[in-house]
Amino acid sequence: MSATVLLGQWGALLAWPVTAFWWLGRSGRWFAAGLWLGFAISLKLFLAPLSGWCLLRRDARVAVLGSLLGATAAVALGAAVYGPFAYLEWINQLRSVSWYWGVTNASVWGWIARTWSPSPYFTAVAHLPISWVYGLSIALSTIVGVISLLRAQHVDVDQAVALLVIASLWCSPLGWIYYGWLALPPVLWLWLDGRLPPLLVLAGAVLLLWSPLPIFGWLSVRGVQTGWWSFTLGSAYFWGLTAFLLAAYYARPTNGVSRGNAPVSSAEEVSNPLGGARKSLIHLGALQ
Amino acid sequence: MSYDCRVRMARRLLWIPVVLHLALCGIVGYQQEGLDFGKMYFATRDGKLYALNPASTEVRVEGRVVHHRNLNPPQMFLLVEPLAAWPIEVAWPVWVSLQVLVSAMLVRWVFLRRFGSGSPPAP
Repeated sequence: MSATVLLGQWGALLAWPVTAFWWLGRSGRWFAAGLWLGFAISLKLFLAPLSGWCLLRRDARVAVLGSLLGATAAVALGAAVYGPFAYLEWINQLRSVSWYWGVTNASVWGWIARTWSPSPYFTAVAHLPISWVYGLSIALSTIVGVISLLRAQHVDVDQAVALLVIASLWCSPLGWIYYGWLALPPVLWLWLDGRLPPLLVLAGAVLLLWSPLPIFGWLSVRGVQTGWWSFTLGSAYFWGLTAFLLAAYYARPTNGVSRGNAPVSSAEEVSNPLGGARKSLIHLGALQ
Repeated sequence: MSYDCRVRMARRLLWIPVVLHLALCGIVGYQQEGLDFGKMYFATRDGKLYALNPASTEVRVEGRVVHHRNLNPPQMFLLVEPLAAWPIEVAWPVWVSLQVLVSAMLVRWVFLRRFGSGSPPAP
């Protein structure tokens, strides 16, 4: 929220199409879900792995068609208003990116860039050749991306979407933390269901909440200029996102019955009105 | 004062630093030409989506100048078009207020779907 207010970013607005994808998907309306996903991918390319997951999931393959249509419609609209050459310019901009070390880049690329290459704000542990920095980033993001995709095949839609959105951000070259909003609804849902490991959630929340504090900025820019600071608390957004990635990966299965394809029924709400939410809230001290 | 009453009061007081912090962020963003929003705003207003503009920032890395450029796809600027008619002093607070509102609505939506009400259940 700090980054949203300070920078004027629009992660919360962008979270709505992703939420629509998740919600329509869990109720089995995959084509409509795909349309929303395509719209979201056209705005942020790092969400493309979600389309790959739909392709691997037998019942969700129609979402790939929907996402192609959604993305095409959004691009066509942009091209109609601003002209097709605007897209060539945009692609050139993407190719010219070199500022992976940005403080709010919570991805593994950001962490590696801050720790192993020169940057204006951080001191590197050591300066590696740029090919090593890129190679290491590509290798780690590929490994984690594949593991997350494989895991998402065997869990319900809630957990899969939460895991894949976080993993997409974690693996993206520019995984700005303010796009964490995209994962918030399914993550919040899992947490309210009491399915996320509380210690990982607590660690992730503390790390993410500490970073916007003025003392953090001061320490990063003027204070603790050591490689180990860059490696550890200087990259608190990365570690916080990693904690949530692990939390989504290790989320507990639903009580024997996956409700991944259907919303919670009113009968279920009546019989178990609080689910695991109260337990989670109590555990984290939100309730007395 | 009962224990419950004190807990409730403490929870309400906890909002004060949060709101102050967000207000501070808002003031800093406002003073700096809207930062990332400014990049989108000037790009839309001037019709030059990816050119350097008054909100563009630059840093030096080993003597090399790096410009933080706008990386949003063209269709995103359609969202900013309605605000581009206003001066940034008006557009920026409207945009940020919209984001805060949308964030709150998102969280409330999840609670509504999960519990049928917009807030966590009482203990």
